[in-house]
Amino acid sequence: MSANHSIKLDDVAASEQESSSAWLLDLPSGHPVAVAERDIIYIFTELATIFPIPQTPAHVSGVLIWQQRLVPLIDLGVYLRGTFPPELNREYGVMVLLALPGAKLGALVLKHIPERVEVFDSQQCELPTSSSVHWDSIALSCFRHETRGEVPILNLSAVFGGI
Amino acid sequence: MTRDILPPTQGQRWAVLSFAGLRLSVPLAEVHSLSSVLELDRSAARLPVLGHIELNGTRLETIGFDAELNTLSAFPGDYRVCVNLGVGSPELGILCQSVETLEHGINEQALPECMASNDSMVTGVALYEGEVLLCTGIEALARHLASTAQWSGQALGITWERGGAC
Repeated sequence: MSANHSIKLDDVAASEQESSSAWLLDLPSGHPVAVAERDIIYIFTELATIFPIPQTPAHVSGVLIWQQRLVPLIDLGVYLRGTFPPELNREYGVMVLLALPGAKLGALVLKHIPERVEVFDSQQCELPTSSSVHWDSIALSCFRHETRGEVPILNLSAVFGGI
Repeated sequence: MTRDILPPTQGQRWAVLSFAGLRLSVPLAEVHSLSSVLELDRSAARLPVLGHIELNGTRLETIGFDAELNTLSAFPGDYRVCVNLGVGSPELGILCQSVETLEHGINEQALPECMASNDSMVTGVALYEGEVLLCTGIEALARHLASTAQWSGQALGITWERGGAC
Protein backbone atom coordinates (compact mmCIF):
# COMPACT_ATOMS: atom_id res chain seq x y z
CA MET A 1 0.00 0.00 0.00
CA SER A 2 1.52 3.30 -1.00
CA ALA A 3 1.18 6.43 1.10
CA ASN A 4 -1.52 7.60 -1.28
CA HIS A 5 -3.50 4.47 -0.65
CA SER A 6 -3.28 4.47 3.11
CA ILE A 7 -5.92 5.72 5.45
CA LYS A 8 -4.74 9.03 6.79
CA LEU A 9 -4.74 8.25 10.48
CA ASP A 10 -1.30 9.72 10.92
CA ASP A 11 -2.10 13.05 9.38
CA VAL A 12 -1.37 15.23 12.36
CA ALA A 13 -2.43 18.32 10.47
CA ALA A 14 -5.93 17.04 10.08
CA SER A 15 -8.57 18.00 12.51
CA GLU A 16 -9.85 15.44 14.94
CA GLN A 17 -13.07 15.16 13.00
CA GLU A 18 -11.45 14.42 9.67
CA SER A 19 -12.33 11.00 8.41
CA SER A 20 -11.35 8.61 5.66
CA SER A 21 -13.45 6.05 3.91
CA ALA A 22 -12.39 2.47 4.27
CA TRP A 23 -13.57 -1.05 3.66
CA LEU A 24 -14.00 -3.34 6.62
CA LEU A 25 -13.05 -6.89 5.68
CA ASP A 26 -13.89 -10.02 7.63
CA LEU A 27 -11.21 -12.61 7.01
CA PRO A 28 -12.13 -16.31 7.01
CA SER A 29 -10.25 -16.63 10.29
CA GLY A 30 -12.65 -14.17 11.89
CA HIS A 31 -10.13 -11.35 12.13
CA PRO A 32 -11.48 -7.96 11.00
CA VAL A 33 -9.09 -5.87 8.91
CA ALA A 34 -9.45 -2.78 6.76
CA VAL A 35 -8.13 -1.28 3.56
CA ALA A 36 -8.57 2.17 2.08
CA GLU A 37 -11.66 2.77 0.02
CA ARG A 38 -9.74 3.13 -3.21
CA ASP A 39 -7.88 -0.14 -2.71
CA ILE A 40 -10.85 -2.31 -3.65
CA ILE A 41 -11.73 -2.27 -7.31
CA TYR A 42 -14.04 -5.26 -7.54
CA ILE A 43 -15.94 -7.60 -5.27
CA PHE A 44 -16.44 -11.19 -6.36
CA THR A 45 -19.74 -12.36 -4.92
CA GLU A 46 -19.84 -15.49 -7.00
CA LEU A 47 -17.35 -18.26 -7.11
CA ALA A 48 -14.49 -17.49 -9.44
CA THR A 49 -12.26 -20.17 -10.89
CA ILE A 50 -9.07 -20.45 -8.89
CA PHE A 51 -5.99 -22.07 -10.33
CA PRO A 52 -3.80 -23.52 -7.58
CA ILE A 53 -0.06 -23.01 -7.97
CA PRO A 54 1.98 -25.79 -6.36
CA GLN A 55 5.04 -25.09 -4.25
CA THR A 56 3.78 -21.77 -2.97
CA PRO A 57 3.06 -20.76 0.64
CA ALA A 58 -0.07 -22.28 2.17
CA HIS A 59 -1.86 -18.95 2.44
CA VAL A 60 -1.52 -18.37 -1.30
CA SER A 61 -4.59 -20.03 -2.72
CA GLY A 62 -3.57 -19.69 -6.34
CA VAL A 63 -4.31 -17.30 -9.15
CA LEU A 64 -7.52 -16.15 -10.74
CA ILE A 65 -8.10 -14.55 -14.09
CA TRP A 66 -9.38 -11.00 -14.19
CA GLN A 67 -9.76 -9.31 -17.56
CA GLN A 68 -6.99 -11.41 -19.09
CA ARG A 69 -4.72 -10.75 -16.15
CA LEU A 70 -3.49 -13.30 -13.64
CA VAL A 71 -4.08 -12.21 -10.07
CA PRO A 72 -2.63 -13.87 -6.97
CA LEU A 73 -5.25 -14.85 -4.39
CA ILE A 74 -4.34 -14.87 -0.71
CA ASP A 75 -6.27 -16.38 2.17
CA LEU A 76 -4.90 -14.25 4.95
CA GLY A 77 -6.88 -16.32 7.43
CA VAL A 78 -4.54 -19.23 6.75
CA TYR A 79 -1.55 -17.00 7.41
CA LEU A 80 -3.04 -15.72 10.65
CA ARG A 81 -4.06 -19.18 11.88
CA GLY A 82 -0.72 -20.63 10.89
CA THR A 83 -2.22 -23.71 9.33
CA PHE A 84 -4.93 -24.58 6.87
CA PRO A 85 -7.74 -26.50 8.58
CA PRO A 86 -8.21 -29.67 6.54
CA GLU A 87 -11.91 -29.77 7.26
CA LEU A 88 -12.47 -26.63 5.24
CA ASN A 89 -12.68 -26.69 1.50
CA ARG A 90 -11.26 -24.03 -0.70
CA GLU A 91 -14.38 -22.86 -2.41
CA TYR A 92 -14.48 -19.17 -1.75
CA GLY A 93 -17.69 -17.27 -2.10
CA VAL A 94 -16.44 -13.76 -1.51
CA MET A 95 -13.21 -12.30 -2.77
CA VAL A 96 -12.06 -8.77 -3.32
CA LEU A 97 -9.82 -7.51 -6.07
CA LEU A 98 -7.29 -5.00 -4.81
CA ALA A 99 -5.22 -2.37 -6.53
CA LEU A 100 -1.60 -2.69 -5.49
CA PRO A 101 1.25 -0.27 -6.02
CA GLY A 102 2.85 -0.49 -9.44
CA ALA A 103 -0.44 -1.10 -11.25
CA LYS A 104 -0.49 -4.65 -9.91
CA LEU A 105 -3.49 -6.55 -8.69
CA GLY A 106 -4.10 -8.89 -5.80
CA ALA A 107 -7.11 -10.62 -4.33
CA LEU A 108 -8.13 -11.56 -0.80
CA VAL A 109 -10.51 -14.22 0.42
CA LEU A 110 -13.20 -12.94 2.76
CA LYS A 111 -15.87 -14.38 4.98
CA HIS A 112 -18.50 -11.77 4.14
CA ILE A 113 -19.14 -8.94 1.72
CA PRO A 114 -17.02 -5.93 2.71
CA GLU A 115 -18.61 -3.12 4.67
CA ARG A 116 -17.95 0.57 4.09
CA VAL A 117 -16.92 2.52 7.18
CA GLU A 118 -15.81 6.03 7.96
CA VAL A 119 -12.69 6.10 10.08
CA PHE A 120 -11.93 9.13 12.20
CA ASP A 121 -8.45 9.99 13.30
CA SER A 122 -9.66 9.86 16.88
CA GLN A 123 -10.27 6.12 16.45
CA GLN A 124 -6.59 5.35 16.00
CA CYS A 125 -5.26 2.74 18.41
CA GLU A 126 -2.36 0.38 18.85
CA LEU A 127 -2.16 -2.83 16.85
CA PRO A 128 -3.51 -5.87 18.71
CA THR A 129 -0.91 -7.56 20.84
CA SER A 130 -2.97 -10.17 22.63
CA SER A 131 -2.74 -12.78 19.88
CA SER A 132 0.20 -14.62 18.43
CA VAL A 133 -0.17 -12.69 15.20
CA HIS A 134 2.61 -10.26 14.37
CA TRP A 135 0.34 -7.58 13.00
CA ASP A 136 3.17 -5.13 12.58
CA SER A 137 4.46 -7.21 9.68
CA ILE A 138 1.25 -6.89 7.67
CA ALA A 139 -0.51 -3.81 9.04
CA LEU A 140 0.22 -0.12 8.79
CA SER A 141 -1.85 1.05 11.72
CA CYS A 142 -5.06 0.31 13.52
CA PHE A 143 -8.35 1.84 14.54
CA ARG A 144 -10.99 0.90 17.05
CA HIS A 145 -14.39 -0.01 15.62
CA GLU A 146 -17.41 0.24 17.87
CA THR A 147 -18.47 -3.37 17.35
CA ARG A 148 -15.43 -5.12 15.84
CA GLY A 149 -12.90 -3.75 18.28
CA GLU A 150 -9.35 -3.26 17.04
CA VAL A 151 -9.17 -3.31 13.25
CA PRO A 152 -5.68 -3.41 11.72
CA ILE A 153 -5.26 -1.54 8.43
CA LEU A 154 -3.50 -3.86 6.01
CA ASN A 155 -0.21 -3.04 4.41
CA LEU A 156 -1.00 -4.51 1.02
CA SER A 157 2.57 -4.17 -0.16
CA ALA A 158 3.62 -6.44 2.68
CA VAL A 159 0.74 -8.87 2.29
CA PHE A 160 1.37 -9.35 -1.42
CA GLY A 161 5.09 -8.81 -1.18
CA GLY A 162 5.94 -12.06 0.51
CA ILE A 163 5.07 -12.48 4.18
CA MET B 1 2.17 -9.84 -10.88
CA THR B 2 0.13 -8.90 -13.84
CA ARG B 3 2.62 -6.60 -15.44
CA ASP B 4 5.77 -8.45 -14.50
CA ILE B 5 6.27 -9.97 -17.89
CA LEU B 6 9.59 -11.73 -18.05
CA PRO B 7 11.88 -10.63 -20.84
CA PRO B 8 10.66 -12.52 -23.87
CA THR B 9 12.97 -14.93 -25.55
CA GLN B 10 12.51 -14.17 -29.19
CA GLY B 11 10.68 -16.88 -31.02
CA GLN B 12 10.71 -19.16 -28.01
CA ARG B 13 8.22 -21.98 -28.22
CA TRP B 14 6.95 -24.07 -25.39
CA ALA B 15 6.09 -27.67 -24.71
CA VAL B 16 3.41 -28.43 -22.14
CA LEU B 17 3.60 -31.53 -19.99
CA SER B 18 0.43 -32.81 -18.29
CA PHE B 19 0.48 -34.33 -14.81
CA ALA B 20 -2.89 -35.43 -13.51
CA GLY B 21 -4.56 -32.20 -14.54
CA LEU B 22 -1.64 -29.88 -13.93
CA ARG B 23 0.07 -28.41 -16.97
CA LEU B 24 3.71 -27.51 -16.80
CA SER B 25 5.41 -25.73 -19.67
CA VAL B 26 9.08 -25.87 -20.54
CA PRO B 27 10.92 -24.14 -23.36
CA LEU B 28 10.82 -26.35 -26.40
CA ALA B 29 14.52 -25.69 -26.84
CA GLU B 30 15.11 -27.64 -23.63
CA VAL B 31 13.30 -30.72 -24.88
CA HIS B 32 15.88 -33.06 -26.33
CA SER B 33 13.58 -35.87 -27.37
CA LEU B 34 10.54 -37.92 -26.49
CA SER B 35 10.33 -41.57 -25.55
CA SER B 36 7.53 -43.98 -24.91
CA VAL B 37 7.14 -45.38 -21.42
CA LEU B 38 7.37 -48.78 -23.10
CA GLU B 39 11.09 -48.04 -23.36
CA LEU B 40 11.36 -47.41 -19.63
CA ASP B 41 13.55 -49.89 -17.81
CA ARG B 42 12.16 -50.05 -14.29
CA SER B 43 14.52 -52.73 -13.06
CA ALA B 44 16.88 -50.31 -11.37
CA ALA B 45 14.33 -47.85 -10.03
CA ARG B 46 15.52 -46.01 -6.96
CA LEU B 47 13.14 -43.33 -5.79
CA PRO B 48 12.59 -40.73 -6.92
CA VAL B 49 14.07 -42.28 -10.07
CA LEU B 50 11.32 -44.47 -11.48
CA GLY B 51 13.42 -46.01 -14.19
CA HIS B 52 15.83 -45.42 -17.03
CA ILE B 53 15.55 -44.70 -20.71
CA GLU B 54 18.26 -45.95 -23.02
CA LEU B 55 19.17 -42.99 -25.19
CA ASN B 56 22.17 -42.56 -27.43
CA GLY B 57 24.09 -45.13 -25.48
CA THR B 58 23.40 -43.58 -22.09
CA ARG B 59 20.91 -44.53 -19.42
CA LEU B 60 18.77 -41.49 -18.72
CA GLU B 61 17.28 -41.35 -15.24
CA THR B 62 13.58 -40.66 -15.25
CA ILE B 63 11.23 -39.20 -12.69
CA GLY B 64 7.60 -38.09 -12.60
CA PHE B 65 5.45 -35.56 -10.79
CA ASP B 66 1.93 -35.55 -9.44
CA ALA B 67 -0.53 -32.68 -9.65
CA GLU B 68 1.18 -31.02 -6.69
CA LEU B 69 4.55 -31.31 -8.41
CA ASN B 70 5.77 -33.79 -5.85
CA THR B 71 7.98 -36.51 -7.23
CA LEU B 72 6.15 -39.78 -7.68
CA SER B 73 6.92 -42.78 -5.57
CA ALA B 74 5.31 -45.28 -7.93
CA PHE B 75 4.97 -45.57 -11.65
CA PRO B 76 1.53 -44.34 -12.68
CA GLY B 77 -0.23 -46.40 -15.28
CA ASP B 78 -1.67 -43.46 -17.15
CA TYR B 79 1.66 -41.74 -17.77
CA ARG B 80 2.47 -42.53 -21.38
CA VAL B 81 5.31 -40.28 -22.41
CA CYS B 82 8.82 -39.56 -21.27
CA VAL B 83 10.03 -36.08 -22.11
CA ASN B 84 13.81 -36.11 -22.22
CA LEU B 85 15.05 -32.70 -21.17
CA GLY B 86 18.43 -31.34 -22.08
CA VAL B 87 20.13 -28.88 -24.35
CA GLY B 88 22.46 -30.67 -26.70
CA SER B 89 22.42 -33.87 -24.71
CA PRO B 90 19.65 -35.40 -22.57
CA GLU B 91 19.94 -34.79 -18.85
CA LEU B 92 16.69 -35.90 -17.26
CA GLY B 93 13.60 -37.78 -18.28
CA ILE B 94 10.21 -36.55 -17.07
CA LEU B 95 7.29 -38.95 -17.20
CA CYS B 96 3.94 -37.38 -17.90
CA GLN B 97 0.51 -38.21 -19.22
CA SER B 98 0.96 -36.29 -22.43
CA VAL B 99 2.98 -33.54 -24.01
CA GLU B 100 2.04 -30.98 -26.61
CA THR B 101 3.70 -28.10 -28.35
CA LEU B 102 1.98 -24.74 -28.15
CA GLU B 103 1.25 -23.14 -31.48
CA HIS B 104 1.79 -19.63 -30.19
CA GLY B 105 4.25 -18.05 -27.82
CA ILE B 106 3.26 -17.22 -24.28
CA ASN B 107 3.89 -14.21 -22.08
CA GLU B 108 5.47 -15.72 -19.04
CA GLN B 109 4.79 -13.65 -15.95
CA ALA B 110 7.15 -13.86 -13.02
CA LEU B 111 5.62 -15.26 -9.88
CA PRO B 112 4.64 -12.43 -7.55
CA GLU B 113 6.67 -12.14 -4.39
CA CYS B 114 3.91 -13.64 -2.30
CA MET B 115 4.17 -16.84 -4.32
CA ALA B 116 7.90 -17.01 -4.67
CA SER B 117 9.86 -19.78 -3.07
CA ASN B 118 13.57 -20.29 -3.45
CA ASP B 119 13.22 -23.97 -4.12
CA SER B 120 10.15 -23.94 -6.32
CA MET B 121 10.49 -25.30 -9.80
CA VAL B 122 7.78 -22.90 -10.94
CA THR B 123 9.43 -19.81 -12.35
CA GLY B 124 6.35 -18.11 -13.71
CA VAL B 125 2.80 -18.43 -14.93
CA ALA B 126 1.17 -17.68 -18.22
CA LEU B 127 -2.34 -17.34 -19.51
CA TYR B 128 -2.87 -19.35 -22.66
CA GLU B 129 -6.26 -19.69 -24.31
CA GLY B 130 -8.11 -19.29 -21.04
CA GLU B 131 -6.00 -21.65 -18.98
CA VAL B 132 -3.16 -21.05 -16.58
CA LEU B 133 0.17 -22.64 -17.43
CA LEU B 134 2.99 -23.08 -14.99
CA CYS B 135 6.42 -22.36 -16.40
CA THR B 136 9.73 -23.98 -15.54
CA GLY B 137 13.01 -24.94 -17.13
CA ILE B 138 15.94 -27.25 -16.65
CA GLU B 139 17.74 -24.90 -14.29
CA ALA B 140 14.74 -24.42 -12.04
CA LEU B 141 14.03 -28.14 -12.08
CA ALA B 142 17.61 -28.88 -11.11
CA ARG B 143 17.52 -26.37 -8.29
CA HIS B 144 14.28 -27.79 -6.98
CA LEU B 145 15.35 -31.40 -7.17
CA ALA B 146 18.64 -30.65 -5.49
CA SER B 147 16.84 -28.91 -2.65
CA THR B 148 14.36 -31.63 -1.82
CA ALA B 149 15.32 -33.76 1.13
CA GLN B 150 14.52 -36.96 -0.69
CA TRP B 151 16.87 -36.12 -3.45
CA SER B 152 20.51 -37.03 -3.10
CA GLY B 153 21.59 -34.62 -5.81
CA GLN B 154 23.66 -37.37 -7.35
CA ALA B 155 20.95 -39.84 -8.21
CA LEU B 156 20.80 -38.45 -11.68
CA GLY B 157 24.45 -39.06 -12.24
CA ILE B 158 24.99 -35.41 -13.02
CA THR B 159 26.29 -32.66 -10.81
CA TRP B 160 23.29 -30.78 -9.53
CA GLU B 161 24.24 -29.06 -6.37
CA ARG B 162 21.88 -26.82 -4.46
CA GLY B 163 21.50 -23.65 -6.43
CA GLY B 164 24.55 -24.42 -8.47
CA ALA B 165 22.73 -24.86 -11.71
CA CYS B 166 21.26 -21.39 -11.68
